Amino acid sequence: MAKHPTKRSPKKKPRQAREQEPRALRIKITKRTIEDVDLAIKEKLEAEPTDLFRNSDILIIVLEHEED
Amino acid sequence: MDICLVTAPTVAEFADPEETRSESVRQAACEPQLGILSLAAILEARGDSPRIVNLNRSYLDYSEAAATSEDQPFAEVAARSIAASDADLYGFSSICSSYPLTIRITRVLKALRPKSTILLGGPQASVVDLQTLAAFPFVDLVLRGEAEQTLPLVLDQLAGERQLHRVPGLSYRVGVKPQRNANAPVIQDLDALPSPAYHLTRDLQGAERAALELGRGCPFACTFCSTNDFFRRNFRLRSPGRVLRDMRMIAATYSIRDFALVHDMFTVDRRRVASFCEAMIASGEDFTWSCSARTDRIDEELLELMARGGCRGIFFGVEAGSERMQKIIDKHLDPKRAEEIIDASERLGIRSTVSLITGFPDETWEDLRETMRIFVHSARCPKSHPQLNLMAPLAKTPIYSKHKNELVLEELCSSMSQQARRRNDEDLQLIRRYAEIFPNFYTLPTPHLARSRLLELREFALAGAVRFRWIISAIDQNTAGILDFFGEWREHRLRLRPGLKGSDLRHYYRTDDFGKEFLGFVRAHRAGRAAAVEALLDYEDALRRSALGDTRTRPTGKLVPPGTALCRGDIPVRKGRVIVFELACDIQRIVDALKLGSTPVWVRGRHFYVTREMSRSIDRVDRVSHWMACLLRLCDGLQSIEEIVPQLSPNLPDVEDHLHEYVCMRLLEGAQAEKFIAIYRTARAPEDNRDSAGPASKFGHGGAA
Repeated sequence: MAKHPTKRSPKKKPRQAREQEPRALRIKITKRTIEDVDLAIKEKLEAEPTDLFRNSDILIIVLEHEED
Repeated sequence: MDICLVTAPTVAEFADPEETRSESVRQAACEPQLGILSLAAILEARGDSPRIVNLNRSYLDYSEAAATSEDQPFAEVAARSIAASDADLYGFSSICSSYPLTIRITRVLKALRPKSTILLGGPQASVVDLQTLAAFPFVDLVLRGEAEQTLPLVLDQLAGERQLHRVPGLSYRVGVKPQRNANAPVIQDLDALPSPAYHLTRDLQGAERAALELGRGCPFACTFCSTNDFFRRNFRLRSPGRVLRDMRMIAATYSIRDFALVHDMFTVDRRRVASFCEAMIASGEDFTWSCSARTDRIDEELLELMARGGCRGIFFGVEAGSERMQKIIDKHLDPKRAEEIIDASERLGIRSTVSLITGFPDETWEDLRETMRIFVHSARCPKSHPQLNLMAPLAKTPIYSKHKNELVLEELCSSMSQQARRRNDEDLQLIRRYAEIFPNFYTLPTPHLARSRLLELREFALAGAVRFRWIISAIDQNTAGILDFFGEWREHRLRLRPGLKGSDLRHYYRTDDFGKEFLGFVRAHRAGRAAAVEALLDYEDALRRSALGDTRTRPTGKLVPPGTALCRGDIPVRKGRVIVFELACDIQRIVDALKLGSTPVWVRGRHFYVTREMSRSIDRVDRVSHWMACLLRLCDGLQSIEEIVPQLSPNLPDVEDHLHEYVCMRLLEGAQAEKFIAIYRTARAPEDNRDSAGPASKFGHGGAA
């Protein structure tokens, strides 16, 4: 009969398995400096329109040419 | 002769304050009425000085006035206002939806000015002329059809020999007997008509768009349509040069460069549409415009040319989704082709309004299913607006003539005749008594479809498409179709609110209660377990929760204009309808998949969105960065920039600590430029406390954006 999984003692991963992990996960995050923070801010400022709208008008009447 | 021309009211039915305050009603009220303006221009050209009364503006003023009370009905207030001009002739335009009100106003007006002549014209009076003269003795004359050539003849006869039988298109009384002269010929050379007398009204003051006539007459003969009687199926088009001249005049006078080009059916003749577009392109102007078209009189190539010529919107009257109904109503469109044209318009960035009708006597559930398929197809295109209208039997149309003895009067009728919640009691009395004059307020028998279900379907479809466009599309894709789903929803709604009917039912679909109850129903339904539906329900929930939890205070102090160097003591606050919310998936990917009818690609993670005001009634949702979302959440109007920076810092783990204030300042400038926030400066914030003393200046950016 198999043991209950929670009662298993944690085992260290074999070396081969550790080496196959994506390397990026083990790279220490480098903090942004002024050299690249401006570029990051530029990206962060960009608002990307979606196709979703929110209607706050109580009345919807049929007009021939409605605006977006 | 003193002449007063009176427009047909188009918004006077909206009696509830919440209706009259609606942006939709305001927009409709400001549309210039070209018929009256064209007649006014003709009269001015012959030396008369006509006065124009815009009953829409009168009605909005009346609604807003504190004096509004039940003992001062609008008909009396309007009649007194019109009578103030002390004219010899009062000429009223008329449309079917407000014809009872027009009649009531003329009754009061005639009592106030018994010696004046009351003349009716326009589409409705033209087709019920004899009945009107027989029923309402206070109406003296009805001038049928296009009146630019005949109104001057009427005026000449009234001022001279009074030989009314000499005026073509005129209906009048001989003794007490209504009499009708032969029709006047239609006006072949529309270029010869003067430009509409926009200057006599305030309609275009501050407007963003102007209505302009492109031509008249539709050669087709759809059984439900009244326009073929008014313009007598005689297709005419103004020349491109003449239209451009008016556009330039309007642009120079009112700074308007967007035009609603009015024609029942612009695209009858492909070559003339092409030459119009080529003239627009050659003009070098950046005018934009919208028009009406049939989906079988247009193709991708022509659409592309129209887009290049400035076309930004097309009204497509598709009406029925099944080929069977297309034949029965003599429309003869290919529904599949209609969908292709909607798609092509979408690709070219042209807005489409897709008009559909239900409530035809021969219509079956299967026909309606096909109609709803086109409805959802349109809803899946972001630039398309589906409409579902209830069939209105318009006077003198073939479908009315066939069924005129079977009309049914119910509390709700076609949206074409009554879009408001309530109907005026006096109007109702007239409608009951004179069905032959006001048939559009009645419904036709629908032996294959339950009318109560159709009436509710219209409310559901319209409210659903506007509020929950993508959920409706996702449900349609993941169930047997939206029509069957509506059936299940309606059963639920009947259990939840069994007493709702008529105007209360219409009102319910305009309330938040509908939204909440519908979303709750979808969540509990098996359709709610479909991935796309679930994601969209999560979106609605997140938006609703964020809106409810959104607290902010408008700071005191002076508004800091964009571009000004910011101080640490400045207080930013989210603008009125800016709401920040987070989702666990990229909702745009879901929408993109729905557009294509494919399975969504899930991009799980933290995704941030902000609502942004597009117009008085519409907010658009924008995706923003995590940084921006964190910043906007902190802009509650209570905290200064100095207080915000340390709270933003934990969200900038990959930025060096000494740059946090710099990042915050730049984000604030960006948020201000995007109009997400306003920034206030209190008297306490000293000038020397500005950003330029901080990291920004250190890195050569100064304080300004």
